[in-house]
Amino acid sequence: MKEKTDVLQGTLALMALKTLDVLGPLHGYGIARRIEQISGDLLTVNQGTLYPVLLKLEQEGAIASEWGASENNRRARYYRLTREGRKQLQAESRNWEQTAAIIGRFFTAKAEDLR
Amino acid sequence: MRSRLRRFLKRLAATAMRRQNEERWREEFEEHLDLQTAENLRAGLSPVEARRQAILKFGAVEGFKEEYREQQGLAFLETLLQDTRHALSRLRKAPAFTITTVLSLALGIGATTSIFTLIHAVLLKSLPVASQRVVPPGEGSTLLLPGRVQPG
Repeated sequence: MKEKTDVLQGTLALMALKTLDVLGPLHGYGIARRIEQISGDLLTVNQGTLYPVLLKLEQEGAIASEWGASENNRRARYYRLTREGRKQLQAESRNWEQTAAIIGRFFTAKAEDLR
Repeated sequence: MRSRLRRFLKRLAATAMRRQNEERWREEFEEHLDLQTAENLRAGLSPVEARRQAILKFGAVEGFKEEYREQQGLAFLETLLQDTRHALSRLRKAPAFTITTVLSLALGIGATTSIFTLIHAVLLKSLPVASQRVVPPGEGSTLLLPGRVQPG
């Protein structure tokens, strides 16, 4: 069995933003499920952890929420990406890719390259 | 910066309508658990086990509620309000103590204020004139001083 990794602080917010960007308006459960599926169940994240993250994003204006009907026909809170959130997502994914590229270069660098 | 300001304002508003908000996320958490339970039922678990697994997966609900509450409002403001309320109710329960305290504070503040007013007027405040130079007799105009006879 593969080892599960802890979620880096702030990564969850980025995942939630990306999920909303790809799938459109979604409730908290939907976002949690999607994150689990994409990560291949490698993340040990309690689904509840997501809610404080969503709240923070909403307070910052990156996402907005309203009541809607859920799959079992009850009230659920649906989150959607705002324009500002889309901008934030673009900026952060650029950052993230840059960081990943740099770290990747460090891992592939051979001893000879450094001489 | 702007998002931080917005977040502060939102939290301030949330502090004011705390009860409504608690209702909101209680419902939200409940709905989440129901959806997960339904999913577990579809996966073939017994109803009791499905619910149990859903709760386990969600994690420590009370902990998240606490975290949520802290993030939603301004914790320090809420604590301040609570403390004030507590203090007032305690004071109301001990009227003798309250009256004594209020009276001694009032007397103390009153006495200090009046003594300072006196000192301020006598020693500290400057005279309402442009120049505070002492004018020796005979210098300058004496026209402004009635009752004095012009020499010569």
